[in-house]
Amino acid sequence: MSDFVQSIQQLSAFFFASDAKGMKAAYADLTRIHPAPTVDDWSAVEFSFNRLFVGPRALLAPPYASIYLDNNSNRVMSESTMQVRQFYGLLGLVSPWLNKIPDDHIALELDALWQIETALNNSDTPQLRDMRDYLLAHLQEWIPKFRQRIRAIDDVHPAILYITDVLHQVLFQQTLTPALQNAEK
Amino acid sequence: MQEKMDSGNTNIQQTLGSKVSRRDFLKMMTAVGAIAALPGNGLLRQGPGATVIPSTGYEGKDAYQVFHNACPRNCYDTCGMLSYVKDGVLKFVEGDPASTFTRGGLCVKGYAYPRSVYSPDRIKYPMKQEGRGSGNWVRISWDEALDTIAKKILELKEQDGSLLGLGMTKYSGNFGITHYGVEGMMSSLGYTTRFVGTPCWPAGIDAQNFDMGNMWCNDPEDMAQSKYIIVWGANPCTNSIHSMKYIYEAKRHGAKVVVIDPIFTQTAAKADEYWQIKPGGDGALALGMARHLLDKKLEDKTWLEENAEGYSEFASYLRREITVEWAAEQSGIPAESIKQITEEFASVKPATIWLGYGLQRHVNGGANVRAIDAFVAMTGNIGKVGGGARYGHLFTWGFNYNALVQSAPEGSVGYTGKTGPMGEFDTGQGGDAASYTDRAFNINKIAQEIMDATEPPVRMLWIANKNVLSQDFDRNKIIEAFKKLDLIVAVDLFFNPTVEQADIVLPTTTLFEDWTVNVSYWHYWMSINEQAIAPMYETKSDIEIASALSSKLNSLQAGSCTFPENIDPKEMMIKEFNDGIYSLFGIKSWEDLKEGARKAKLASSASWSDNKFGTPSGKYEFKSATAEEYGHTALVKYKEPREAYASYRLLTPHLKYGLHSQFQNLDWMLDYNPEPLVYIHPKLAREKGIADGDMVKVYNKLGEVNVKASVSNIVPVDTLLMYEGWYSPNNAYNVNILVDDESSDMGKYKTGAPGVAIHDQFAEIEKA
Repeated sequence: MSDFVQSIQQLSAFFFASDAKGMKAAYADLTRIHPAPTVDDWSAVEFSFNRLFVGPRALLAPPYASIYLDNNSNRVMSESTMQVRQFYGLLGLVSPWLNKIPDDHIALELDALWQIETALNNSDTPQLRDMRDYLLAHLQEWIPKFRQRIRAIDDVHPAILYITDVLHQVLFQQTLTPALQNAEK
Repeated sequence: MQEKMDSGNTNIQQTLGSKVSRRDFLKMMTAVGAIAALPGNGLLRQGPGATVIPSTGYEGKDAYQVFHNACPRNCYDTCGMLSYVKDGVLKFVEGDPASTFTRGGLCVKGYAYPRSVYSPDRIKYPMKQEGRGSGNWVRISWDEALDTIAKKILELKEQDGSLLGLGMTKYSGNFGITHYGVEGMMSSLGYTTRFVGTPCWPAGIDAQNFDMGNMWCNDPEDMAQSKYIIVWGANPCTNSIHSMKYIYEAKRHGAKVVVIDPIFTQTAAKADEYWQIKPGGDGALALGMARHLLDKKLEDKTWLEENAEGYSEFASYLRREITVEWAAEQSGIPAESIKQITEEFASVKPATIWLGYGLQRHVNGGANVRAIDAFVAMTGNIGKVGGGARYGHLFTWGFNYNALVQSAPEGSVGYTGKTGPMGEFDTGQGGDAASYTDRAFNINKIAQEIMDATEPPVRMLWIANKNVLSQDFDRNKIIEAFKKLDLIVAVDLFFNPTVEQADIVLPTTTLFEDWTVNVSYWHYWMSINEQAIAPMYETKSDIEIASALSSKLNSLQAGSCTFPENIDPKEMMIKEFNDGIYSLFGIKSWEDLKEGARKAKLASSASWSDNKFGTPSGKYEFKSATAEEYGHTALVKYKEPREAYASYRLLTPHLKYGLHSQFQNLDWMLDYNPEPLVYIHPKLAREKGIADGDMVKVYNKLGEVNVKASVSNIVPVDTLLMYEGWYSPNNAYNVNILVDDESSDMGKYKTGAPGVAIHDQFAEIEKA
């Protein structure tokens, strides 16, 4: 697996994590590829992570694409979420948390990207590459806004800033098919 | 590699050219089918033929599954709704057109419901706070949450020999009938400490019970037939929007509409005449109006002779102690106006007064309601279609309370003192012959009650359907009192000042994710609430939580909880219905409600139309022995208002873009109501050197609040207006820092505890 594919998998795992242990494991795998700050207190990462992405307080940086794509709307399960669900359907994939967790949660989108990349490794078809580029274009549109929002917040744990930097970096190292480079949502 | 890049120029790009949207791109894609079922982090391969391609745009109403729902908030209108669902996602809501009360319409808050269900800010998982108020939260499983809670409950029982150390406070976050399962959960554990009563309307409930033997209002739809309407201390333009059309219809037929309110409300703006009354002067005004009826011999002598008890004594009292001029002085309404409106009101039938809940949130609130009732009764408008002293009713609430009625585990020990009703909705069905009872504490004095509790002290608090820190009184004292508690569990939809103080928060379902049934305390419609979508995240309904807690407790200690361990929310709803409800609403089965909301079959739209009152005498009682028994004057009489404890009166009424502390956190509401304000009169603003938009400090004996000033002549010169319920994690504003827990006069008789004098509050103001 390329560094890119491995990074995507670990980034997905990080955002899926439900506790400090899961965050630590994903982080450890990522740091093998990307030099990272060391973390002493994983509880602090967890508290920061929950303030940003989980709750219970109003989220400082909701990890759902629709928040950044649909006219600054503070709503999940909106039109762009359904587009993402449609996209997963075209791949033959479905979220196990259908109608429980929005389909465009960052961890699910990164998981889709990882699954496409892995499939491309086995059989490279033009359609699958279109799919990959579609998803990359989508991520390249909202992730910078997501990262911007996180960076504007005081006291975000450095480990999470590192994660968002790596996310941004790996996504923008990839080039898209020209048709999608200028595509609007 | 180069070869691969070239072959990437596919048909899609060639067809669409350079300017494409990703949506077009998506449309052009053909399904590649299931890619390998990889052991990824999340997404799964769909089953054969299961590739669902959801639509993304509006496709006409036929494309949606339609469900019947009901808005369960603490609101007069309790609207039946239709929810439109596609691909398992709630798309939009409408009012239920089957109801003539709502006629298919909702308020701005109701239309925003999808933004509540799909707010990214919903509480999603059980979470534990590492240090109360620290903001350091970790996700925990339901199992861990319930284990912690159950072990604490068992520890309390072991330690105290009873569960009176476990307190529960709940009010109006969701009035769905199955939500009384929270009380049921408490009963199923044993005898606990309950915070009883209501912060809302208890003084008026008792007053109407003393006068007429029940609180029972006319159907609001018959206001259209009124020839004269006084809206007294209510603001339906923002808080009961569907009632306004009946008022407008009455106006079209020539009715005069008078609004009496300390604040020039939107309803006042629509009236023919507006009286800016001194807060708490309502009783004096009504008694002055009553005295003028006597002077002009305008009372309905026939009705009074046949249907009233104690009237001659009341008339003597009026002649002896009340004058119109005195009433003018007490109320701030000129004597000439009082005389004119009194004569007008008495000259037509039917004429009606709508008594809002605001006017009874005073130390003399119950006495004020009795005085207004008396005025309406003297004019012979009680029991008349289009007439009546309208306050509210519980006429349609005769459900089984199946979720509520649970028996204590064998051997449970409880409180041996005397208790009264456990709130206004207590139908007495929970009572049994057991020698032990729950311990009843006043819901409106939660801080003081926790501070004072001994033998045993309250050590654990369960909070559901209630945002204590936003809505209960003397916020700073509550924070102090909470320090006595070992464990606070809050069940909620959104993070709020109460969750901020919780040790464990449990995520609950929205109305669209649950089954229940709803009725109103104002109109006579009933709506079923069908589950329209699956519960998002890990949310559970109140009764599902009760059921899960029961399983956990019984696994730790068999027989420690009697709440059913396996429940089906739909079955639990069905069990709430009985023949009485079916016959009242003229339906054969709850399933009839799937066709739309239904209205109770009323003998008359008028309450008390047969003049058979529920009082001991069976008549309208101007003199009530029951009132005397509860420590009030038997006769309807003037009661002094509260003495001011600071320079300016502080009023904290309901807001338009929220219902108490619900809705106001949603993006659509924040667009219009982005920050709290204190409204002050231009004259006071000049005196204090405050300009519109200045930050000011509002303070009193309890604490202080910093807030932006809005200079406005909707308020009297000596009054500060701040709407209740507003909260934000980024702003420490909280009106109840400034509102103490002084009791109103009445409420003990029918709700178990007196109300609270929310509008008898005072404060100072200065430029910050």
